Amino acid sequence: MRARILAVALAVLVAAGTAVLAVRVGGAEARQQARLAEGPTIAWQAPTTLPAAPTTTAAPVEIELPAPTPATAPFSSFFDGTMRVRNIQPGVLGVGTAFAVGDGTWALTNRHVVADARTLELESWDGEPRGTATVVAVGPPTTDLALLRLPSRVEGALHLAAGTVAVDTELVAGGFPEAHHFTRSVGSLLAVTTQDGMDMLVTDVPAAPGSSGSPLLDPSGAVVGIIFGGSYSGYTLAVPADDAIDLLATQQLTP
Amino acid sequence: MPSPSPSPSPPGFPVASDPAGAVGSPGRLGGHSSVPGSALTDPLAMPIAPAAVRWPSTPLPTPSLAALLVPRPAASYATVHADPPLPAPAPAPAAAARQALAGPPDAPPGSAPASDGAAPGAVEGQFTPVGSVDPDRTGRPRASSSGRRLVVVALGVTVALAVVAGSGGYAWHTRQQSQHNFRAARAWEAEAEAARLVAEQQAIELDRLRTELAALRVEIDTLTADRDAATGRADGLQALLEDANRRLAESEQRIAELAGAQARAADQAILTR
Repeated sequence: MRARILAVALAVLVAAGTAVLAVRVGGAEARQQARLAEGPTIAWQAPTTLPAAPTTTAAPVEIELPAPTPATAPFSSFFDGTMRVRNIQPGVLGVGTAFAVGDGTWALTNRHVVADARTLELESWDGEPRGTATVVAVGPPTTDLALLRLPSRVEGALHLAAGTVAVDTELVAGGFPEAHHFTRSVGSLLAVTTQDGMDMLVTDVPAAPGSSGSPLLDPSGAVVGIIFGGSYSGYTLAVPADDAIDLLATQQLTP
Repeated sequence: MPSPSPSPSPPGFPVASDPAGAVGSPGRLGGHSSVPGSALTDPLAMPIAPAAVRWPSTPLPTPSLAALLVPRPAASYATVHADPPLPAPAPAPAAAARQALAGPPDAPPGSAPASDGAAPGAVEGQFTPVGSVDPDRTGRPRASSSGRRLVVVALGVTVALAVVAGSGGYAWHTRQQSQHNFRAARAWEAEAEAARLVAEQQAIELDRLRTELAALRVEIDTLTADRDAATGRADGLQALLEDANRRLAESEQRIAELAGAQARAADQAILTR
């Protein structure tokens, strides 16, 4: 009986050991399979995609310089060619305004400024004498214009703008109202009209006797008209630049 | 374990054969019974000294472990005849002596001896204890201790075989697993090497990009500083320009006024000429 018990005990022991071994081996295989499935463990790996570099586009530097306009710029910027015209007659002195055109040896003014003049003395806006001018041509009776020949070339000749000027355009005039010092006045175009066969610009630019022949500049600095008088209601009247261009054309001059 | 060689039969005692063949023959385990009326239980059958009882040198069949472990009822041995018959054992001295005293009932003197375990009047197929002699009167036949030794030996052999088989299997499994682990480790090493190479290339590319980025940042910083300086200079210049224009306009206005005064004086002079 003891031998049987011993045999049974040994059998049970061997079976238990085999079972434990099978379990351990099975667990080890399972862990091994799991590790194989997971693959090798890499300590570190560089990122495959790099972060986008910050795009720093330098914004262009914008320097806003004040655009020179006839209304704000110094006199020398647009009115260097503007001159004081002294109509000297025996016992009579008239003062008006003229401005250089073309190559600087010509000047435009009103016909009534130079009418009956024995001597036409010119003087710059800052008091520099420009000599005496001669009348080369005058416009038709319906156009109060005269073309002068200057004794020397003058800097700051202005350019004439052809075409119609839009109403409400800012206009700047420079002349010698009341025969005083050079004065710049600012206004706008009110209308373009024709009276008694005369084409004229109606503006509210302040003017006075002595301003006759003053250039009327648009914001770009081009001459759109030439002041010749005023209405009773206080408006300032000007000859359109087209009439001046026609006068220049008679002398083979370009505006 | 071979049984001890039987001692030769005493002279003049015929050796009886076992009429039952295998049942109750020596070498059979569990061959003990007390059949009422059996001659073996007769006190008169006990004149033989214990040392004279020997087992034949019959090679014992190796019992299977299952046969050893499965308990069997004692009575089943009397009806089992599937085992191959063993060679006729030498007649036990006690049976030979008893048969010599009684004389063969049928066989003439000098004929072949009868079976040792066949008691007179025994029915074939019934259990006939042969080795159940209890010379020590302990109530246990001597054949039982020897059988237990065989069982122990068989168990030992079985356990040894199991241990050897288990050890071999474990060693084989360990070797297989080691080879598997080795292959897996090689594969891992290859993958890790490839990954390391990729990582190195990416690191080089990353360094290059970082260097380029640093240079770009320096350039951007320089341009930004230049822009700021230019902006500052531009702002300053613009302020200067505006101030200069204002002062120029004021000066020109003053000049114009003076020129106007001069002109008026000249005009007056002209008029008075």
